[in-house]
Amino acid sequence: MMFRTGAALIVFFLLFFLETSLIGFLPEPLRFFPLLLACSVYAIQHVGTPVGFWWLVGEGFAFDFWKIGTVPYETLIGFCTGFVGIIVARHLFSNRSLYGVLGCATICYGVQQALHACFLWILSWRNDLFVSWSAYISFTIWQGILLVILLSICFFFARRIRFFFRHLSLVSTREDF
Amino acid sequence: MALLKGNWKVRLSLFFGLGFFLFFFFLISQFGSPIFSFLQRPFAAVGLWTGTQWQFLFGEARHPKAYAILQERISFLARDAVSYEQLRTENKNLKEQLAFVERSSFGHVTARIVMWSVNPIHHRFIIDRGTKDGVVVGASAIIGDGIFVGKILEVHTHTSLVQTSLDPDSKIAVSLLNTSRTIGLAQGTGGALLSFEFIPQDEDVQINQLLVTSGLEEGIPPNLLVGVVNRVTKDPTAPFQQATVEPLVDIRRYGIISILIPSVAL
Repeated sequence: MMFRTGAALIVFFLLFFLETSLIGFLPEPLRFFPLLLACSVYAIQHVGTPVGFWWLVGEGFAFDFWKIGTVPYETLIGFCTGFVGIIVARHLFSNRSLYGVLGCATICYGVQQALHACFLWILSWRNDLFVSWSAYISFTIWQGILLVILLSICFFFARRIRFFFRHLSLVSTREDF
Repeated sequence: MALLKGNWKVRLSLFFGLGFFLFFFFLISQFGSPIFSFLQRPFAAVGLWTGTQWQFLFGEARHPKAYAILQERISFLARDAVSYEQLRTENKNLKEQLAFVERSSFGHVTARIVMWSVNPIHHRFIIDRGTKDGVVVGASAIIGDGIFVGKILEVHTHTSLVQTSLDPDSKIAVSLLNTSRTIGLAQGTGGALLSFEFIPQDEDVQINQLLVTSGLEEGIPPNLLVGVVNRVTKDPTAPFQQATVEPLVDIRRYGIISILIPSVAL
C-alpha cells in the first residue's frame, strides 16, 4: 500500500513537472499539452485504476496551492472531472477500444472546460477578472486536439504502459471502483 | 455506485486521501520548496531549450515582414538612443555639480523560473527565490539591464509568484518617452499585448515610441522599459485615447530573471 502510494505520488509529480516546468516553456500551441489530464483519464479508463482520479484532484490542488490555475477553484474542478471520469469509465465506455478512451476523455475534458468557463464567466461578470474569450476558445480547441493526439499515442503504447503500471503496483487485480 | 453507497473502505480511503494531500502540501510549503525547485530546474532547462529551437526553426525564419518591421523599429529607437545618451551625460554632470544624493536605491537578486501557468487567462510563473532572499510583494521582475517583465504577486519562504505585465490583472504606472512624458496605466489583456489607457486627447502618441515605468508605483523604480507603442486608437468623442503596446521581449525565452528589491527590504 505504501509502495503503491509512493509510486503514484512520484509519477504524479513527474507528470506535473513535465507539464508546468518543461511544456510550460514551449511556444503556443505546444504549451497547451494537457499531459496530466490525458494520463489521468487514460489510467482511469484504459488501465482501470482510480489513481487517475487522485492525479486530477492533486493537479487541481497544486494549481490552487501555487496559484497558477485558470480559476481559484481548480481542486473542485479536478474532483468533478475525476468523478465523471470514473462514472463514465465504469458505466459507459469499454476499456478495450481507442474510441472508448477518446470518448471518456472528451466527456471529462468537456466537463472540465465547462466548469472553467462557468467560473470565468462569474468572475468576469463580477468584474474581478478580464477574460479574453477569443483566446480562451482558441486555447480550448487546441488543447482538445492535443488531448486526442496524446491519448492516441498512449493507446498505441498500451501494452507497455500497462506493464509500467503493474510494475509499480498501481493496478490492482481487484476491481477498485 | 461504490463511491457513494455504503462501502466504508472507499469512504475511508477518500477521507485519508484528502487528509494526506492536505498534510503533504503543508509539508511542501514549509520544507519542500527548495527540493521541488531543484527538481524542476532540469525540466525547465529542457523546455526552454526546446522552445528556443522551435522558435528559431518555425518562428523568425518564416516571417520576413515581421523582420522588416523590427528593422524599422531599431532605426527609430537608435535615433532616440543617441539623444538619450546626450541627455544622460548632461544630467550626470548637473547632478555632480549640485551634489545630488540618491534617496532610494534598489538591490537585485537573480532567480530561475521553475514553473509556468498553463492556461491562456493568467500569465504567471514561479521563481526559486522567496522571503529568505529578501523578495517582497510588489517588487519588479526584470530581464537584462532594465526590461520590465512583471512584479511579485505573492511570496513564500523559498518561492515567489510573479505576475507578468501581460496578465489581465496586471496594472503598471507607466510613462511615454516623449517630450511631455505622458503618464498613464498599462494593463495586461491576457494576450500578447498591453493596453495603455487614459492618455489625454491632446497628447502626441506615435507608433514605435517607448513606454517605461513612471516610478509612481511603490517598489518599482522609474525608467524600466515596458514596451513599444504598436497602435494608437484616437476617438475624438472619447475623453482619452488608447494605445496598444508590444512588450520588448518574450519572457518565455528566458529562464533567469532579476528581482529588484527596495533597499529598505534588504
